[in-house]
Amino acid sequence: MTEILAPAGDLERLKWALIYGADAVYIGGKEYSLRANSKNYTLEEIKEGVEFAHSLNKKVYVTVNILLHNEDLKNLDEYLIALDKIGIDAYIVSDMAVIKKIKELNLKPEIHISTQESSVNKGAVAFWKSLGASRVVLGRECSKEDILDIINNIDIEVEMFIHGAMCTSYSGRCVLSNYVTYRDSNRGGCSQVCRFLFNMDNETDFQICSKDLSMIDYIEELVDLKISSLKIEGRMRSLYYIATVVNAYKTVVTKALDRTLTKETIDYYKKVLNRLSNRENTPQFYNKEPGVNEQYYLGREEVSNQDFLGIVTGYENGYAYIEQRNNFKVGDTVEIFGPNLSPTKLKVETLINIDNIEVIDAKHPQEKLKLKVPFKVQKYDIIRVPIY
Amino acid sequence: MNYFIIPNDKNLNIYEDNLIIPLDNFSIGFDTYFTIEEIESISKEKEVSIVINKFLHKKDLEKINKIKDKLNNIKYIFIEDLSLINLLNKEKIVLSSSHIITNYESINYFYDLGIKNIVVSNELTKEELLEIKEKTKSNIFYVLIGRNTLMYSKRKLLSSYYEHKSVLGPLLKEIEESVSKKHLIIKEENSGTCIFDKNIFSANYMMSEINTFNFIINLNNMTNEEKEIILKHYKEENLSDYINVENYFTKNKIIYKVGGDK
Repeated sequence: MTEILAPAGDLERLKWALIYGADAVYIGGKEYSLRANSKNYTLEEIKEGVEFAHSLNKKVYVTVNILLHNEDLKNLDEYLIALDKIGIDAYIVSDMAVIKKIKELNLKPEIHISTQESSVNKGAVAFWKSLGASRVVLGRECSKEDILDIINNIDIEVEMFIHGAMCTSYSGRCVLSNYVTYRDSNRGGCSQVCRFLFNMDNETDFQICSKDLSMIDYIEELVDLKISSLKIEGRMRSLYYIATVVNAYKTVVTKALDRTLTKETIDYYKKVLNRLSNRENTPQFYNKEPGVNEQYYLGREEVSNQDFLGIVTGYENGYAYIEQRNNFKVGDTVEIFGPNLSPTKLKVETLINIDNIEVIDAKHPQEKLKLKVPFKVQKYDIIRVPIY
Repeated sequence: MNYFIIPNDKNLNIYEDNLIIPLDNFSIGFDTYFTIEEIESISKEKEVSIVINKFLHKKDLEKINKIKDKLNNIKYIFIEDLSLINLLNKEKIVLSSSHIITNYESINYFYDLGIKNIVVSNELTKEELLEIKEKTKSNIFYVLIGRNTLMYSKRKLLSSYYEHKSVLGPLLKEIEESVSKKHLIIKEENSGTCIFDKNIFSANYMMSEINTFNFIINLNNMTNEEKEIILKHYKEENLSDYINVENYFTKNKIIYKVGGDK
């Protein structure tokens, strides 16, 4: 089993990620989690998320991965115990104080070591195992050689990032945010100074920004290496982003496992992922040392993606009940995909509004409409601009 | 209180206090490195400590394994990578993970695991440091003076930029963040790139209150003039009378939830 592990910034995204094929999600509570400005979960929401995931036989890991200052220790016991009582599957941790508490309190959830610890060799992984960790999220700087050495020598679950944004630094070893914007990067306040522009001599275009990570070309290899968990970055990403990325990797991993993965499938999903993201991606450290082509220098503006056209909320008598997300109109060709539906193109012929009147376009945000669809679709399917 | 100096040159005789010298090929962010042969030779004459502050990938770890027996005469070995905990003599190890050691419970857990020497983060307030002093038994090290390392990357950030611009350029530059106008120093080496604060950090003003700590004086990335002043006054609480220094984080709690709970 190769786990697809997805980010889920809130309960809605948790449900979509799991429905779209994630085997587990990672989430953050209101406290003790990096991404302090993500919406994050109350304990009640975590409970609901865990119950939902477990009902699908899937898992929820909770990030308790800030580096604690003394004041943060005060309510830590209470929080860890509450998560244990809820029945989360694992704590994702980076601070030794959290590991100490989990062990002292004899709590049941597994301990996963966060990528914040930048574990890049078998010795570091063995150290975490000796403390009781069942899984280590490897540093994103690991090469294939590093990963092989770890897997071949240490009997522990290994998790690695396969898609999403990268820190320019070794994770956890950056306080640029602290010094430039007075926000603590290792307590969830990172302001991503690595994406800012710098002046050097008389030039104003110096940047240290990394392009994103994508391992889609190497999924077959990772499956063969028996990496336990393939992780997607992005707890602050949209529902559409998460559903699309999870769907892409779940499809590719499933095909890799049953030996039906083809170059055409990989090429198709590369197009899907490239179109989804407004940033370029590369395999980064896996196959070589990153160089000039793995960084940005232009201080590029990031534009929002308008491909997400709507969601399906039901299907009856040849019509999909939909909720609009971006404009489209009669005559357009759209694509519908979902957890149980391969991407299928459709020419929009009939759109009917809530008053049962035929309309020529879907132009109102979150407008509820009926769309004629000659094939069966279901709740949670997504309508998007077609990918060619 | 003990002082440990990280020199920026090989003329070690000018230094009166304990020395920490960077091991060549296994350290990053310094001006001068010492080969294992040089360290062996120096350690016969003088008690020295060394620093191994790179993250160690497979090949690095193999090389460390080959030289570890040559480190027997070393006083302390300052390490970043946790793999070394089970490879080296624990009594010699000083855990020096950049920015990572920020609370007393972590320090106490490492103590229980046999790591009794530890460097605490430079992004802590005086009150946090005093609480650590009170609630730990460990031998605490603290960078009292130095240009703080703000970022450590495995990427070659300067040479990639020059390649993109099709120009040649030096691997040590001063840069300015365009909005805050904050000045930084960026330095690329074979194994990656570090960024340092242009301001010199000094906590000398509160040294009497944290006097059970071991103080590290890092002279790297300093000009000769700065080095001269620091070497003359590093044991004085009023160092700031002689040189411009910065210590914002010792006096201010840092924000990490912008706009409160969302």
